Parts: sequence; C-alpha cells; structure tokens
Amino acid sequence: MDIKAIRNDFKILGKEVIYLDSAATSLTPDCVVAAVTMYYSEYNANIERGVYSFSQEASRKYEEAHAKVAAFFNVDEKEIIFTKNCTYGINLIAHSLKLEKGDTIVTTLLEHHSNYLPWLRLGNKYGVEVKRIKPTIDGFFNMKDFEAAIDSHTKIVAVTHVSNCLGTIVPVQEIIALAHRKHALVLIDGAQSAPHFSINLKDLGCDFFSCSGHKMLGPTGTGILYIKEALHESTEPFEIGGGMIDEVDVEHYTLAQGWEKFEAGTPNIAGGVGLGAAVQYLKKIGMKNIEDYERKLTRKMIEGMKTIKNLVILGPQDPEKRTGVVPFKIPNMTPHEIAFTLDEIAHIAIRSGFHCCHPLLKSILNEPDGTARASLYFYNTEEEVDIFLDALKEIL
Amino acid sequence: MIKKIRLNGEDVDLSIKALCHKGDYGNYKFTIEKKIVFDIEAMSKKLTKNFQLDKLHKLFMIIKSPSVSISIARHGRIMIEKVIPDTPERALEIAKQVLETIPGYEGIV
Repeated sequence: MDIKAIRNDFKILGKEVIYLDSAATSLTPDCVVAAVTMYYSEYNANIERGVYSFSQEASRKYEEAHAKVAAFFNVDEKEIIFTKNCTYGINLIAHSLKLEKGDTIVTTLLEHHSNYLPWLRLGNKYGVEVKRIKPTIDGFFNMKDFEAAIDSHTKIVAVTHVSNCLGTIVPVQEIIALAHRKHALVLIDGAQSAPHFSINLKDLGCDFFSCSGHKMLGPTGTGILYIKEALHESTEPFEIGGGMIDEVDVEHYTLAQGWEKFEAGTPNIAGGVGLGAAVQYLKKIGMKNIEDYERKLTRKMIEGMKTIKNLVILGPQDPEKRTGVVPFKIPNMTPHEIAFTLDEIAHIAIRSGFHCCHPLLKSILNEPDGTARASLYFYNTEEEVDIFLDALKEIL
Repeated sequence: MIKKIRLNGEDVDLSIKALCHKGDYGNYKFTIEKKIVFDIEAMSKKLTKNFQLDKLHKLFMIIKSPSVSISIARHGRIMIEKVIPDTPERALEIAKQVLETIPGYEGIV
C-alpha cells in the first residue's frame, strides 16, 4: 500500500492533526466528498418517481450505490438497506420482532449501547428475559456460556463482531452456527469490523448485519443494514410512508419488495451515493491490505506502549486477536486528562470516556472513569504512532 | 452553551461543552473563542492557593482539589471534571476561579 498516495486522497490530512479516533468516525476521502458534492451540483433530485433526467440520474446513482455495497459484502442488492447509522439498523430489527411470553433474547455485556439498549427495551416491552453473556476483561467469551444461554426459546442472538471498547475480535461464526442449530436468529453489530477487514456475509451466514457508513469512509448519517432475503417477508419496516409501497388505496396498502420496503420517505440520497463511493475506494485499496497494514501499526503501537512505565493497555495483548482499537489508562490521570494533554502536545485526537459501553466498563472492567482509546485506520502512519508514543512519555 | 466574558474591554465568546461523564458527576470543557495564550506558570502560582498542582508543562497544567480536577491548556482551553451537581452553571462557577487569573479578565457579561 502506498500510504503517501493514500494520504493525498484525504484533504483533511493536510491539517495539523494526528487522527486516532477512527473507531468513532473515520475521515472522508476526497472522492466521497466529490460524490456527495456532485449529487447536489449536477443532478439534485428526488429518486425513483421522477420522469425527468435529473431524477433518473439520481435514482440510477442511488441504486448503483446499493449494488456497490452489496458486492462489497457479497450479497444481493435487494438485501442491502441504507439506514442513517448502525444504531438505526439494529433498532429496525428489534422493532420488527414479535415476541411472546417465554421467548428470550441473548446478547452480551461487551456490546455498544446501540446493540444493548434496543434489546433491553424489547425485553421490558414484552416481559421477556434478556440473557447477557459476560466476557472476560479482555473481551473474550467462553462458548459454553452461549451454549447454555441459547435454547429453543431464544428468538434472537445479538452480538458485536468487534468490541468498540477493547478491539477484541469475536468469533461470531461459531455463535451463528450455535444459534442456528437452536433455530434462533442472529444479528451482528459490524460497526467496528466492516471498515477493517473483508466480510463475506453469505459465508458468515448471519440473518442481520448492521454497520455505520461513517466509520468506513462514508458520509455521516449513513449506515448499512443487511437483512437476509428469506426474512424480508417476516421483517416489518420500522417506518412506513412514501417511496416504499407497491400499491395504496383508501383502506389498504402493499409494501414494495427488496430494500425499498425498508427505506420510507426520501432517503439520504447524497449520503447513499457517497457511501457507494466509499466502498468502491475501500475495494480499490483492498480489504486484505487494509487489515494487514492496520495489524502492523497496531503491533507497533502496542509494543511501544508496553515499554512505557505505568501505562496499562486493555484488551487482548495479541494483535492477531484485535483490531486497531487500543484502550489504555495511566495511573493518576483521568481519560479526559490524557486526551486533553495529547491534543495540546501534538494535536493527537483520541477518544476518552465510556465509549457508549457503560455495562462493560462498569460491571466487567471496573473502570469508573472509563478509558482513553486510540484507534487506527489505514491512513495512519508509523511516524504518527511514534509521535503518539513520544507524547505519552511526555505527559507521564 | 455560549457565554460572553469581558477580556481587556472586549466581549469574547466562551463556549461550554459537556463531555462524556458518569451519572453522578459531570465533565465540562470551556473554550475561549479568541486567540489567546495563557501564561501557564503565572496562573499556576495564583491557582495553587485553592488547588494542588498535579502537572505543570509548558503547554498545560492540571490542578486538583479534593472534589474537582481542572486541566488548563495554553491556548485558552479549560476542562473541569467531577462537577457536582452536574450542571453547566456549577461548572461555570468553578471555571470563574481560573478565568480570574487571566490578565485583563473583567468578568462574565
């Protein structure tokens, strides 16, 4: 990978910043910005219904974006729904489930709130049990806990692919196989996996997969939800209204097929087109190249941090078992103090606090102030990691 | 939230932002929206009457009291942690103690 050339694709990297917060939102390459701008400056119109050329062009670009994202995940275009973010996709699925007394939901204490609160609420709404699998402090699971929790009453298993708090990669394939043996549905939160390594959803076999567009170079306000085609009929859309119907009369309506069924109202057309450009860019760089390069950077960062006295790294120590999300703490400094001083010393942008993971931080990690978290992406460099390590030494 | 402070006879915006926090206390960041350079060392001398100096660096300092922690950066940024009760007004009361050490500070407008 030619990092110098890649960095030239991100105008924002010309600013004085060392951006280590890609787990929150990634930077946006110029081609994505151009795709969004082009929609507004060249063919701004609503999609699907207009006869005139702008509307036809907008419809074509928006449909092409679905096709690009579908190809990126190796699934059919019909199965890819554009949402506003990962949270929305998970809520859509939670909202569509009809539960009965005695049903159970299985999730974990490793989850981001987006894959935890919808299930808590659903449990309360239907009075059903939400079983929570506990991870270790490194974010690993004992598969026997899933075996014990998932049974014939389990309606859905909702689990993250990669922890946004610890970076741990979860062996979701095993969990999916286990859940399917018990006839439970499986939703994977892919917000922290989809941007960082290749995912073939057909091979993975989950029923639902939700991720954020803005964490994988797309515009903010974009997300992706995969719903296996066989489940389209039984999955109710979250919202209904314009743009997603086949037919409506005074008393009745029939919904459209494919992704249109789940995208009510005028969608974020510019965002969708930008998201299409983002996955095309990722494809051009190559997800395997991205994964390998990030692992190299992560190894360098972790090895360097290990040499800093008193600094504590959380999550797996083995870079093979994690992504470039690296949480850490420094004794006698709050996470916000670490973030504040790194910004001041070298314009280093990291995240600090609870990372929308209160259950994990409070009940498993016992970190009452949260953690500091550096997160890497393929546009970061070894030099940036060196500056980060030097800055850490300076604040200690 | 944006407040105005008077610095050297001029009204200047002071933005107040809530940061990620725990249920029982709040964390806030104040930014003086004007190019300014604090004399960190001089401020530290004035502030150590009420606070303990935790870290002093040419670009920032961290001062603490038993109840709050304050980080001050050279370019007009102040972060206050463990604010109880968790309101911007309470955070502003604490921030005043820092603002009062800035030469030319005349008060909140």
